[in-house]
Amino acid sequence: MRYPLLTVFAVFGLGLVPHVAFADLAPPPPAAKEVKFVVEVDEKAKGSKLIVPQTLVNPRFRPAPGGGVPKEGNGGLAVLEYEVEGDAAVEPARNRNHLMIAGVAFTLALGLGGIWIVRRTGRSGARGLALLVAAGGVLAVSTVVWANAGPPPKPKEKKEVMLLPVAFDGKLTLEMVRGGDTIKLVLDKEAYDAIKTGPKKPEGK
Amino acid sequence: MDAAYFRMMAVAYAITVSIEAPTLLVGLSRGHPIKHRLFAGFWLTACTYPILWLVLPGFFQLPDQHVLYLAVGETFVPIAECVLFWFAFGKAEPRSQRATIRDFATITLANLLSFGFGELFNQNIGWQWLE
Amino acid sequence: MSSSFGEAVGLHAKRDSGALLAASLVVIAIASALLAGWMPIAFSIATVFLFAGPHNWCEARYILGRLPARAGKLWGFFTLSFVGIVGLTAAFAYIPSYLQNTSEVLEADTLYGVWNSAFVLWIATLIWMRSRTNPRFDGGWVWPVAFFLLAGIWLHPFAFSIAIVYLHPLMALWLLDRELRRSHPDWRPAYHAGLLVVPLLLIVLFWQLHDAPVLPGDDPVSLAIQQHAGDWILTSVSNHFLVAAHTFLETVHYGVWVILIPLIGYRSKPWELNTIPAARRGGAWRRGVMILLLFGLLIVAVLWACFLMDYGTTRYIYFVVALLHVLAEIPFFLRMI
Repeated sequence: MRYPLLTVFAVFGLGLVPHVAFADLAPPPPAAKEVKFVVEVDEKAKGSKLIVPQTLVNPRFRPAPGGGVPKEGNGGLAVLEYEVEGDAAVEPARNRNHLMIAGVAFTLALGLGGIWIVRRTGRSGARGLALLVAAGGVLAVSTVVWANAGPPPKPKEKKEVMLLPVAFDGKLTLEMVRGGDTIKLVLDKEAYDAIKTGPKKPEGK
Repeated sequence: MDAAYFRMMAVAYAITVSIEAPTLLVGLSRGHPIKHRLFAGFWLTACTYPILWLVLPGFFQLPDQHVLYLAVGETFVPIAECVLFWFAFGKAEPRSQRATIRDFATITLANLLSFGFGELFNQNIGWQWLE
Repeated sequence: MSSSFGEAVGLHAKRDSGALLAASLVVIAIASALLAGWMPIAFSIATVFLFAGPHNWCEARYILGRLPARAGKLWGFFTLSFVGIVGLTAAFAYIPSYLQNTSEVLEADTLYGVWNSAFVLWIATLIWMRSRTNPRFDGGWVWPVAFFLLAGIWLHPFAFSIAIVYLHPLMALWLLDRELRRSHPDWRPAYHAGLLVVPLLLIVLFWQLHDAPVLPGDDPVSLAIQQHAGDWILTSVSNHFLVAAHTFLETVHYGVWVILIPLIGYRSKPWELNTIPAARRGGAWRRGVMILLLFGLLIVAVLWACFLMDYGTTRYIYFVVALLHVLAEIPFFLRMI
């Protein structure tokens, strides 16, 4: 019973390594698709915002840092914190201290495990060696398997594009909501007036 | 540190073991059975690799302090491996002081050989093929 | 000598009762999987409301029936158990309020990494201590395994937390097996056969729901249930499957504690205190055990009332405090092996 348990836990710990390593790779951006789009003008709004239903994209919603029951926003909807991934080719930075602690833990695990395997009375070398090689093999094979999944996507080379006239150039709030099938652009009075005046010629570079 | 780094680590481990295990197999003193020599060839490197690849880089400004990092790392690794080897096999198997010195020298030699090969590999081949 | 609760309700120590036990487990599992897969949010709400409190009471009653009257040479083990249970629960409850004062998600990674590490090292120490008492066993493997887990924790702090969420319900199945080993060993083969239905049903749930549409529901309770199942970290699979799987496992867990273990593991009717070692010490101890059990019933009733008044807040508070019982199962289980 103990050996299967030991193997299970060792595999779990080692198996997290390539999973986490692979988890650094950003998922590819979703394919382009047509969606319903509405532009609304709200003269009382304090700022413009773009409301995107979560069903149309695939953001990851982390629980609010304080945990607990999500707070209620307007209309009874929960207020969520979300990660909006930037450049898909950029991998997120890993906490260096966490990696160092993991390294020390790996060393302690392997060191203590090896000493225990060697010092066991009775059946020592063969089964212990098999266990250690199996654990190392899991790490090696899973790393190679994840390696064959392909490298992270590289940033696309910048191509020259025609600069279009700009109708609106400013900031707005990006709001992700659960439910719905329509992307709404809510313009405040200032933004709407700016659009009404007509597009501006692009600044050439 | 990303997925490519972990892949490098795995491949480098395989290369290191392929050099150090035969060295230990041949060089360790007679009191150690072959299965223990083989075990030590895989185990010692596995124990010190996380320190060399995951922990020590955090203490140096790489690549500027690369030489210092190597000096510290390649001093730490043989010492740590000798200590581990002694804890695992030092009391279990009958040995003399001469045998102990031979074992420690073999471990150190194995590390020097793998270090030397590693530097040649980095300079002449590199890691681009892995990406 | 009083009859066991199981015998009192007609469950006799016959071989075919092992098949009855296995069949009960299968029925509970299939019903849970069907309801959890069909309406995961609603079923989760209902099952937590109905069984959360009662299962804790049943667990406390069972543990009281198995705890020794005196710690004796095990005082160190029980002391560390108590310190760990209370300390880890308090720390876990404190982390969210501490994090609310900052906006750094990275801080959460580190704090939960520290908590998970303390949790693993606590269990490792308990196992080590257990291995040094009769019946002794070689506990040398515990430290390598613990440090492997620590490495995994620090590479991905939240993965371990999510793993605990899914693995904890299986503890009840393991405890039932240990109880059968002690009281009805000839039922174990049938029980083990019945256990196979759990992974099979998980596979079926995954097959049917892994790419199902995202669960509807924008209210805080639905979101809390989805987050509890880890949909914010396990993003490659539909949260319909995650909530269904978690609810299925939790319901099986409740079924084992509320139905199966009382029928098998209580050596007397639940209200009879003679089979509780601490109560047999008499005097204040007996009164204390009685008050504890009655207080537990009161808590169950209060919990139901709070769920009816404000399900979301009660659910959140319950799952923080309920960590106590999750942690308490661990040293108790170690004493059973």
